[in-house]
Amino acid sequence: MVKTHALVVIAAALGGCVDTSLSGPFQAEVLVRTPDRQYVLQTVALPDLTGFDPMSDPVVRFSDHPNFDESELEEYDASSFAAPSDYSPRVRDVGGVAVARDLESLLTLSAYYSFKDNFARAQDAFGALPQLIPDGGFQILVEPKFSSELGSQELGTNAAYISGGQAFLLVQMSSLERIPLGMNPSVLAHEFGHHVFHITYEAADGLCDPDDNAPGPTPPGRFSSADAIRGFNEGFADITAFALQQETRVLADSIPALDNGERTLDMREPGYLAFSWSTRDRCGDSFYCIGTLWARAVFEVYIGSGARPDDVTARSAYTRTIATAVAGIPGRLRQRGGWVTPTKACDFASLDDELFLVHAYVDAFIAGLPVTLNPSACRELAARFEYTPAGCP
Amino acid sequence: MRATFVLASVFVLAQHTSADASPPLSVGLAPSTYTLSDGSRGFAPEAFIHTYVPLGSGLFLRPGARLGARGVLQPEMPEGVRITERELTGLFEAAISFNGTVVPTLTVMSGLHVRRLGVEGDGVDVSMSHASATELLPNISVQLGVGLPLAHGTWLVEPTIRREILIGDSRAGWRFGLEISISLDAF
Repeated sequence: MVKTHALVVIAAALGGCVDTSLSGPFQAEVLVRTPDRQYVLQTVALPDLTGFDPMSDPVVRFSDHPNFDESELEEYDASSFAAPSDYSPRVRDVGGVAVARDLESLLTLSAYYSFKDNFARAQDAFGALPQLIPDGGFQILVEPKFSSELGSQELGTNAAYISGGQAFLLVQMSSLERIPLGMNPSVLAHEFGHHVFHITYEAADGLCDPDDNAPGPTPPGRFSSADAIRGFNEGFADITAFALQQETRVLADSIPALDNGERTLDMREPGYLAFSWSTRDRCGDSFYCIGTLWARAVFEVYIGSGARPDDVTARSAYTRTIATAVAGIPGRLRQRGGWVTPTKACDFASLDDELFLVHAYVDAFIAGLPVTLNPSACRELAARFEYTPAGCP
Repeated sequence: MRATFVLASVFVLAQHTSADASPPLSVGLAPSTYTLSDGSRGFAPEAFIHTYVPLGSGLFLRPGARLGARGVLQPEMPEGVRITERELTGLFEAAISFNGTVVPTLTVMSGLHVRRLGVEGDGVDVSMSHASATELLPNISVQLGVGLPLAHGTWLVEPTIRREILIGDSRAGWRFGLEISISLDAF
């Protein structure tokens, strides 16, 4: 038995990085989170996977250590990430199961499994949202490098979504992580939430045209890069993690050192760090805090409706309501008066009143909610942002 | 190809040995560094033995063998789940060197890496995992070095650059080292 095993390993080595004896339908050993929140390395089925060399799927492609120019990041669109898969994990065949031969391969296999799980959950949670799974699919960038004037470097200790590019990043792991971020289903659900924000808010907002110097009160895409909108984007992503994975502390499993309660959604959990708009410096005063205020309010509206956090059907119905309201925000922002006139379409800096944009966003969100949720949404958002939103008593 | 090369080296060595019962031998240590998967530098010590067969015109054939280890330093990994890689390496080699003021050397090596993969979990259940395993990886490498003879050739200090090809591991690449050897004729 031992001798046979050794021969198989040698054959795998001679054959290259992927054991060619593997054939579909594929199975792989990945890191899985069980319903009781234990992490286990175990064998799972990967029914949609079409191959390991390169690793590909009808809606997911993998890019092997791509190199990007940081200065061009905002110009990337879906066509920038349309290349076919060129990443092959290093795996060997153990009784028909693909087993990773290094940690990066385990990361990629586990992330693929979790993304697919999140895609399936998202189709239940968000329903028939256009481009929820884009026509061109997603690209997953495995440990990309970013070049800038300072040289080329790999990002570390993060996972990310490139808005507009419909691409997810699995960046280099580090010892700061406990469960690698790319293997954490909640973190990947959060990243998928950025995609949902992109196809709802950002798709409705449009893209600004850098060459458009025509004055106008609210050119398309004007606000998407403002800190406030970036914050609401993060809050929406945290609510997506709750919707898909019942997660209320998105960083808890992966970076306990950073889980100081400022991103915790549920005030009933130990360590919850309370803050409001005027005391958001307690949260570090980053744009994330704006999103957390919004996400906490949205979470409490859900709990206040009498629904249970573990009720998947109720979470899905609520999530669809939230996504619909968010998609309507850009249109209502444009209708609102009082904006500072920008000197050019993409001149975000001319909007110097962040609070004005925050209030406009919250007002527009409440206006998009069904009347049954209006009282509790008014109450929760008013308490956190410390003003009386438009349309609220 | 590898077998032919080693046999040729042994043949030349045997020819030399028949003419002279004590072929010149040198032994040495070779610390070297290579790039780990996280971009940091790994450390790979080796011990080697060489002999020299004159080919004329200052040229020498330098067959030898070396044993090495890798995995002393591991790349940075998350606390919860880790896959460590530790190796023992055995290589045969043959080099052409020129015995001048400096000793430039071109070496071809071949052998096997015995790699032990170990999966570790902290708060992660790895009891069902099959990731821990032993792999055998054939190695073919080419190395360039420039030796600096010291103490009338008793010592040779040789900075080296090696291109490693590990069949079954596309991550292998460049390796930089310093070989320090001493002639056993000095004893």
